[in-house]
Amino acid sequence: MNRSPRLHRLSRLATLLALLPTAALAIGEQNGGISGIVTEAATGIPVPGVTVAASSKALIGGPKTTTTGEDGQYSLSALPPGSYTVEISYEGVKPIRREIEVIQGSASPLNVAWSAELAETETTVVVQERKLTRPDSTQSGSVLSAETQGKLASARRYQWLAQQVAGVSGNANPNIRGGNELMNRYMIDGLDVTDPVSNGFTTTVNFDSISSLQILTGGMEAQYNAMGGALNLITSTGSDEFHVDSSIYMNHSLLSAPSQYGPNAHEGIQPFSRAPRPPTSGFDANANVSGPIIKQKLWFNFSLQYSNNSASLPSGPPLNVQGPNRTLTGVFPRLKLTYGPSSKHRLTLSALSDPTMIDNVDATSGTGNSITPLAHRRTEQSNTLGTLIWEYFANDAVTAKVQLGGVLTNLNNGPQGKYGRVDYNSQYTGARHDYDYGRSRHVNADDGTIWYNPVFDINDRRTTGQLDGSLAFKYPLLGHHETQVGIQNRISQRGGLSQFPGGHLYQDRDGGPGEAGLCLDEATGKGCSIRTDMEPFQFRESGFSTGVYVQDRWQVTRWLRVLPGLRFDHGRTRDSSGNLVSMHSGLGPRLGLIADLTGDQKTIVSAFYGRANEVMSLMAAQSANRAPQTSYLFNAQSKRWDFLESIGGPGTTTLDPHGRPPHTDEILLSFRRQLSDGIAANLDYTYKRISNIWDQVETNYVWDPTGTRIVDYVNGQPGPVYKITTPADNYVTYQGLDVVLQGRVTPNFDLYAAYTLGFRYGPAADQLGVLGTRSQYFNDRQAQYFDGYAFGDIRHMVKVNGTFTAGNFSIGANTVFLSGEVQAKNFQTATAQTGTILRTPMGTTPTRPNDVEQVSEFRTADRFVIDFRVAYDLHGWTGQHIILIGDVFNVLNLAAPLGYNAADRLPPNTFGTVASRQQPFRVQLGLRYMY
Amino acid sequence: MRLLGVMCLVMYGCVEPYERRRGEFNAGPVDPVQFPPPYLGADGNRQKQGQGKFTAAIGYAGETPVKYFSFPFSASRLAPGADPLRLKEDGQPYRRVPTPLAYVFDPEETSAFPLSPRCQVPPDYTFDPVRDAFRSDEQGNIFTALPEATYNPGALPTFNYVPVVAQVPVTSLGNSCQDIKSEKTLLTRSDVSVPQGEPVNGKQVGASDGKYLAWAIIDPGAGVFLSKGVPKTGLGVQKWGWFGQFLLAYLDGGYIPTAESTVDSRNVVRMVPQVLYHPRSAIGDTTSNKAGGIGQGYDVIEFARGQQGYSPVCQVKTYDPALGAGTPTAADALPKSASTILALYGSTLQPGVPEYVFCLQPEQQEGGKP
Repeated sequence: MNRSPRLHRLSRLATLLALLPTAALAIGEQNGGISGIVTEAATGIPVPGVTVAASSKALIGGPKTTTTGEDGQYSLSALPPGSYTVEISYEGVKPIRREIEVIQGSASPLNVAWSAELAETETTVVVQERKLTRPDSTQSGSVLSAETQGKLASARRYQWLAQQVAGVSGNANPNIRGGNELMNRYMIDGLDVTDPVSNGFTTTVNFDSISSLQILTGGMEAQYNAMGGALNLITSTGSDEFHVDSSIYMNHSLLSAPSQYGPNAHEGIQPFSRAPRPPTSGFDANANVSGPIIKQKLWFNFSLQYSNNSASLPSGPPLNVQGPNRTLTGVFPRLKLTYGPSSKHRLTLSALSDPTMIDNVDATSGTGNSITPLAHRRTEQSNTLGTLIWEYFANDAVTAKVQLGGVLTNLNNGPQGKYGRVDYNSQYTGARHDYDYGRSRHVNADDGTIWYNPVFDINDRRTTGQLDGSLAFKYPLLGHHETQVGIQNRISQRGGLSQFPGGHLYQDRDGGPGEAGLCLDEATGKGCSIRTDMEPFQFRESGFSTGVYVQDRWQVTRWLRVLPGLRFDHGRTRDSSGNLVSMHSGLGPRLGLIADLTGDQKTIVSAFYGRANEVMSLMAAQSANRAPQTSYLFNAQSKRWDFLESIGGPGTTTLDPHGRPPHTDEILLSFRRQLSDGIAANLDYTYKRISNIWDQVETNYVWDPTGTRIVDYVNGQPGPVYKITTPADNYVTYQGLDVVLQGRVTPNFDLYAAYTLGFRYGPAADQLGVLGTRSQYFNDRQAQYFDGYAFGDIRHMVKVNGTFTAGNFSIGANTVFLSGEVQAKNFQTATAQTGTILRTPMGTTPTRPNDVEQVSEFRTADRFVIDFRVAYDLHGWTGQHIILIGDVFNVLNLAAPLGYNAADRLPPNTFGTVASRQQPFRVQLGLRYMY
Repeated sequence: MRLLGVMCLVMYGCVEPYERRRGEFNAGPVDPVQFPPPYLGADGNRQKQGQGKFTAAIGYAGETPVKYFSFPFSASRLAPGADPLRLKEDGQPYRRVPTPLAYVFDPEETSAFPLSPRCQVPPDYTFDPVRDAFRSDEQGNIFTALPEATYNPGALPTFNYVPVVAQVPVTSLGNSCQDIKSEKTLLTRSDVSVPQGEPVNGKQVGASDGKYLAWAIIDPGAGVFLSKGVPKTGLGVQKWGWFGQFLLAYLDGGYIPTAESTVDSRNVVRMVPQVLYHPRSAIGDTTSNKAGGIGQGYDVIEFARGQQGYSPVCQVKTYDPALGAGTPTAADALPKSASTILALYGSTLQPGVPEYVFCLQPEQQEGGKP
C-alpha cells in the first residue's frame, strides 16, 4: 500500500514520540520539572543512556524516571513542587545522587559532569546549587514558598504576598507592572478564581495551607492570558506521612501604637490626646492535617481556619463618637485529595469554602467617622469552589491534563440592621434610632454625616464553571521541542436583586450640621436639596470564553531557545436584557528568545513579546445594567421637588459589542546572571501598552465650554447615556526597570532585594467607574487633563526581604520603600452632576491659578515600612515543633500619609490634609505546632 | 551598571506623559478663584465655578427696551483724588488704575469683531457645541490681565479691576483660527502683524492704538442671560477669548468713547460716559411698592448701542417721579426716555450713588449666537 508523504511524516513523528527516551513536559503551571545534561567529566562529551530518577515526598505514585538522549540531555516534568532526590545511574556503576528543589512553573536545571570515578568515590548526597537564572523561561516574577513565608511577617492573606515582588504595588488586588487592579488573574490549584464581575480575588485561603505561590509579572507563555499579572497558588497536598500544622495568631490594640495624628502632613502624633483608642483585636486559628489514606495511592490534606478581626477608626470629626468595630468573622475549610492509582495517572480534587461575615463594613473606611451605626452595612459572602484535575502520563513524551471546576459566590451586602445587629452607641438612643428598613438614607453635605441606611441592599450570586484540557509532548526537530497545546473554557453568570432601603437617597444641604440639618420635613424644606428615587432592580448577566493555545519551547542549540506561542480567545457577554454586550476575539502571539551566553546557564539574556486579550468580563455587562434612578432638586419656593435627571433604566446605555477587545502588548528584555552559588541578579526592562480598556462613554450631556455646566442634552432627556465600549484612545503605557538580587547567601540566609524604576502614564484612569476615580469620557471638556502620569504610577520601589535561621531561631524582615503615588487635585463646581473638575493634568496641582508654567507634581508622601518576624522552635526542649512567633509591623512606627484629600472645596477646605496614614507599629503574637 | 544607567536614561527619555501640554495648547477655562464678586455673577462663588448667573438689567433708551450688564467702578477709581474716568496722562496709562492691553484680532472701524473671519478656518469645519469647547472658525481675542481681588477672612474683598482694556489691533496674515492663545506666543508669530510697543519690565508688548473697549471678564462657567431663561443654555451672549492659554469669557460693551483735555497742565484722555437715570422714590402702589434703584427695570439710558453717543460707561443720575409728594409711582407711569425725564423731572435730578457704573449693552439684544 502506498502511503502519502504527509502521512509518512506523521507516522515518523508518532514513532519518534513513542521512542523518545526522555520524560514528558510539565503541562501546567502547578508543577515544575528538572532538566539538564549529563556529560563526561573529563571530555565534556554528552553521555547517552543514563537513567535519571527523581523521588520526593511530594510525588505520589513513586519516582519518575527517564534516560538521557544521544545529546546527554534529559528532562523530568509534571513534578509537584518540593524537595527532590535525583538519582543518576548507569548500568554497572554505582549511582550518584543530587538533591534539588523543584519550584512551580519552571524546570530546575541540574547538570551532572559524570565519571565512573566520581560514582565510585561519592558517598554523600550533594545538594545541587540553585540556579535562579531561569534558563528555560522568559517569565518574570517570583515563586514564594511556604517555607520562606513561614519566616516572614505578613497580613496572612495570599493576595498581599505579591507586594513582596518587584514591580508590584497597590493593595490586595495588586497593580502589576502597569496593569491595574482589575487586570490580574488569580488561580488556586489551577482553577481561575478571578471574580467574573469585579475582576478581583474572591477566595480566602487558609494561609498555612499554601504550598507555594507563583507571582507572574510578565513574559507569560501562551497558556496564560492576563493583561496584568497572574497569581498562581498551589495548596498543600498530603504525603505518605501524617502531618499536623496548627497555629494561632493574636492581635490587640494594647499591642499597637496609637494612631492619633493631626490632619496635616507635618503633624505628628498627638501626645496629649485623650481620645480613647479603638478596641481593635484579631484572632486567627488554623489547623492543617495531612497524610495518606492509602500509601503511595491516595493522600489527603484538610485544613480549617477561623478568623475574627475587629477594628475601627479612632473617633474624630464630624461625629466625634467612637463608632462600632468592623468585625470580620470567617471560617475557611479546605480539602485536597491526591490520587495516584498508577504511574500513568494522577487525580487531584481540591475544594474549599470561605464563608465570611463582616459587620459594620464602613467602620474603617474613609467615612468611618461620618457614618452612624444605623447606616452601616453588613456583608455576608462566601466562595465555594471545587476542582478536579486528571493528569495522564502516556509515556515519557506525552502528558495530558484535564481540569474541571467551578466557583459559587454568594454575596449579601446590605443594612447592618437587616442582616445583623446594630451596635448602638449611647449617642444614638431613643425611638428615632430604632432601626427601620423603610427609612431613606440621608447624607448631610453640611458636615458630611450619613444617616439611617446604606444606599444598597444587594443579594448577588455568581457562578463560574471552568473546563480546561491540555496536551504536552516532546519531540526532536532541528533541536528539541517541548510543545503544549490546550483549550480553556470558562462560563460565568451573575444574578440577583438590588434594593434600596427607604427607596430614596437624600443629599441634604444648608440645614446645618448633624441630624438636625437633615431634610425630614418638606413642609419646612429645611436641609432639602437633592432627592434620588430608586426602584428595586433585578439583574442577571452571563458570559463565556474559550481560549485555545499552543506554546512551544524549542531548544535550538545548547545556548539558544526559542519560545513561540500563539493563543486565540473568543468570548461573549450579555446583560440582564439578553443584549450582547461584548463579542470579542483576539489573537495573542508570544515569542521568546533565550540565550545562554556562557553556556553554563549562569548568564542568560532573554527577549519576549506577547499580547494578551481580555474577551470576557461581566464587569461590562454589569455596567450595561443600571438601576433606574431619578433625581429631583428641591424648590424652596414651591416646597416641591423639581425633576433634575434620570439615570439608569431602559435606553440609558448603548452597547458596542464588536469593538476591539482590551489587550496588552508587552516587550520584556531580561538579563540574568548568577553571581555565586545560589545568588543571581537580574535586570528586566518592560514596555507594556494596555489598549482598548473598557469604559463608559457619556454621550448625552452637552457641556458648556468650561465643562462645569451641563447646558443641554443630545436626546433632549435630562440624564446621562453611557456607551459601554472599549475606546481606542483608552490606554495606559508602562515602562519599568527591575533590578533584582535574590538567592541564598548562606545556607541559613535567604535574600530577595529588588529595585523598580517605573513609569505608568496614559489617559485611562478609570474602568467602567469601578476604580472610583474619574474618566476621560464623562466630561468632554475634561478629557485633555487625562494625559499624564496615571494612578498607580510609583517612580521608585525598593523591596528587601530576608530570612535568617540559626538553629531553632529564625528572623525574617520585609522592607518596602515606595515613592509617592499620583494624586489628582480636583475643584468643586456648582452642579451635582458635574461634581468636581480637574484644572491641570492627572498627577499635578496648579501652584498658581491660571499660569500654565506654574504646575507642580502632586503625589502622596514616600512610604517606608519594616516588618519583622521572630520565631523560636521549642523542639530542642520539648522534642516537638512548637514555634513561638512574634510579628512586629512597622517597626519604626512611621506614619507617612497614604493619601491626601485632593478636593479643593469651599471652606472649611481640607485640600492637602491627610486622608489616611500608615498603620502604626503593631505586634502580632503567634504559636504554631507542627508534627 | 553601565547598562543599567543607559536603560534608565533611555526610559526617562521615552516617557512623555504630557503630550497635550506642549506648545500652544488649550489649558482649559480660567479659574475664577481670585475674581471679584461682581465678575462671578449673582450667587456666584469663586470656588464653585459656574454657580453664578449674569442676567441683563432692562432699561429704556428712547422708549425702546435695552438690556445691559452693570459692573461697578472699583474703589480705587472712586477714591478721593482719583479721576474715575481718566485713562491716560501725558500719553501714559493712568497710574492709579492702569488699563491692561487686549490683543484684538482684525477689528473693524466701529466693531472690535471682524464681519467675517480673517484667520484660516479648518476645511469643512462646522461648529459643534457638543464636540467643541470653542469655535474654530474665529480667533478669540487675547487678554493680558484677569480680574483679581484680595480675599481676607472676615473682610469684604477689595479690587481695582475695571472692565476696560486698551486695544492692540492684530492683523491676521494666514494664522489658523484659535491657534494663538497667549500674548507670549502671539508676539513671536510671523503669521500675524502686531504693532510693537515699548518693552515693559523687559517684556515685549504690543502697542495700543488708543482705542478702549469695555470688556468685562467674567467667570467662564457662569450662564449669561438676557432675561430669565433666555438663552436657555446661558451661552451666546458672552464672547470667548484667551488669557495665557486659558479660555476666558467676557461681556462686550463695545468701544468706549474718549475725549482729550488738559487738566492741571497735563494732557488727559478720559472716558466719555452717557447718563443713566433711575427713579429714587417708591415704585408700585400703596400696598406693594419698593424703593427705586438702579437695575430694577425702570432705568433710562440715553443711548442704545449703535446710536451716536452710546457709551458703556454710565454716569448715574436719579430723579423723583413723585416730584416730592412721597407717594409711590405706578411702574407704567415712569418715563422711558431721557428727554422725557429731562422735561418732566429735570428739576429733581441728583447724582446717583455710586455716580458711575459700567453699563455694557451687548450687541445682541435677543437670543445670541450659540
